[in-house]
Amino acid sequence: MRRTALSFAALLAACAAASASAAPSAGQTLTVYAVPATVQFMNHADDRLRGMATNPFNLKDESVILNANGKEKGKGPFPGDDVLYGFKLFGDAKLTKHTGTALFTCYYTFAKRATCDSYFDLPKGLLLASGPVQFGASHFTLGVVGGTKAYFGALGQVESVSVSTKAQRFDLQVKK
Amino acid sequence: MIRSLAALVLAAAVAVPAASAAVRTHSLVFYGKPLRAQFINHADDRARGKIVNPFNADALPPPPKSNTGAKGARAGDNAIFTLRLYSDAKLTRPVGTALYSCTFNFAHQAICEADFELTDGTMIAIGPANLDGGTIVLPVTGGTSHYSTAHGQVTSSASSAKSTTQIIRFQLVG
Repeated sequence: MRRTALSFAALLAACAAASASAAPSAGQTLTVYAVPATVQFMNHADDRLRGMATNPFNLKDESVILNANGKEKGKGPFPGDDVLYGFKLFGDAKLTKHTGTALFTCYYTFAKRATCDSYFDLPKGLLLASGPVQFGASHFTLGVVGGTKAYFGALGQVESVSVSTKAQRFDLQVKK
Repeated sequence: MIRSLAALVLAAAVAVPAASAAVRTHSLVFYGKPLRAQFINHADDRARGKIVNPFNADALPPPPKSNTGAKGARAGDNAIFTLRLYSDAKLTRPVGTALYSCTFNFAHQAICEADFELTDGTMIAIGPANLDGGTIVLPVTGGTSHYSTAHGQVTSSASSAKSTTQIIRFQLVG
């Protein structure tokens, strides 16, 4: 969890730092740092169980999730679970210059893989990024899909790299 | 329909004030009348998630009062609501529908995905929103048909303090 959270945090931080220092110009790469602040895990085991009995498909796929005792194998995350991550964003590696907040909403599908929607609330505007993230991964890449104010019409990508146990570095590329 | 929507283009070559460089935009304005709303309370999933989750012991705690049972949205709850869209303030010329699908996160804020289904295509927007009746600004991330290259932002706000009608203004690049 911490690894995943940090990954997300890093991404967010990168975005935040980018906006805090200056509005990114075409092709500019900026680096920021993020620290997780809070998390909420939503366990949808009851919905999965209900969905096995009542669904629009002709599938009998209990074995995908349940073992012989009728319980889920391991602790997940399983399809349908979602995790909300909140982050504090900093513009420096020493985590002294607070530049905003970020939030990730990740919806888990199969094999502990999630589709994540994230936004970075920065002093000069809002930046959105989305994409797939493997649970526990320290490195991932999201696509920038838009923004507001200084990030109006933004595109590009954000890369996450783990740099410490507390924070993660994110390289943000924003194109307009 | 395309013609009628084209007539809604209010301004060409509008500079977005906060942008680092001037971006040519055009605007579309619609008026939305609320049709349906559904709130989905996931208190049971939060409670289960506190006990059964994939995190290690060093995981961060969930936010305080995350599942008190008190009235109000909590992290993970969903809200879905639809509006009928009109091209005029008197709500006489329907041009489509809007659907907001929102997941609440922390501090009563939500992340919302909005689909605006118009007769000449669909526009999609996503971003954070405070669902307290104030103004919502979402980045427009794409669309279909006539709006396949849509990119920019959409602002929705109440037409007046006593009205439920929303003024929905798109600012699109290009």
